[in-house]
Amino acid sequence: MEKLMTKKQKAKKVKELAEVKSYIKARIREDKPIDNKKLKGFKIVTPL
Amino acid sequence: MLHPYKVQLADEEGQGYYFFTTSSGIKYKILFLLVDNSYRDYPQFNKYFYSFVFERIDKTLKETDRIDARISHTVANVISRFFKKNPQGILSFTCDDLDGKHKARSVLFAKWFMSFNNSKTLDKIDVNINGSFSSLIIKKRRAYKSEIEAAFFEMCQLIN
Repeated sequence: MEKLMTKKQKAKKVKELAEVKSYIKARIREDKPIDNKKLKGFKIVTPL
Repeated sequence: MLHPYKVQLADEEGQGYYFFTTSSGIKYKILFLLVDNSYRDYPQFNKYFYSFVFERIDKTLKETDRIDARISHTVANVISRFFKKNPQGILSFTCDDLDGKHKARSVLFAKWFMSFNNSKTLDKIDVNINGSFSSLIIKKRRAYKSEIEAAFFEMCQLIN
């Protein structure tokens, strides 16, 4: 069973998500493709 | 009567995203990020956690459609479709503060939400910590609702 995340790990994830979202928004504004390698494990999905 | 713009699915280098073009020719992209790995301590709901990104392409163009009400209809329609297809879905978003207009964005989105959530089936939970505006949208009667809110609040606190 996987260990519970520490506060430090959670904070890291939150920071990574904020960075990834900033990166995505900047790429959209510049109309440039998004590099999967820069998504830090987060996945772009199509849930509609 | 205003109609939402037609939202299309596109694929770019293996990544799917949604987009629409306004009557004045301005294009918007809508992306969903699955953020399950941030909430892995909560296996009862982590796989339903998404983050929503809505952004205009090419902001160097003059803003001519600020009062285009069809944009809000379109975003509301996308959110509504999301919850129809993913009733267990948990949708989070943050109003970015790159231009210092994050509070105004948060107020605008709250207005949109109130006007489009007619059936009152959805709840929007706002977290405002140190000037950072994050929100969560979930079904009003969703299982684990209070646990989801607590987990989201905890994550929001950690960035501040």
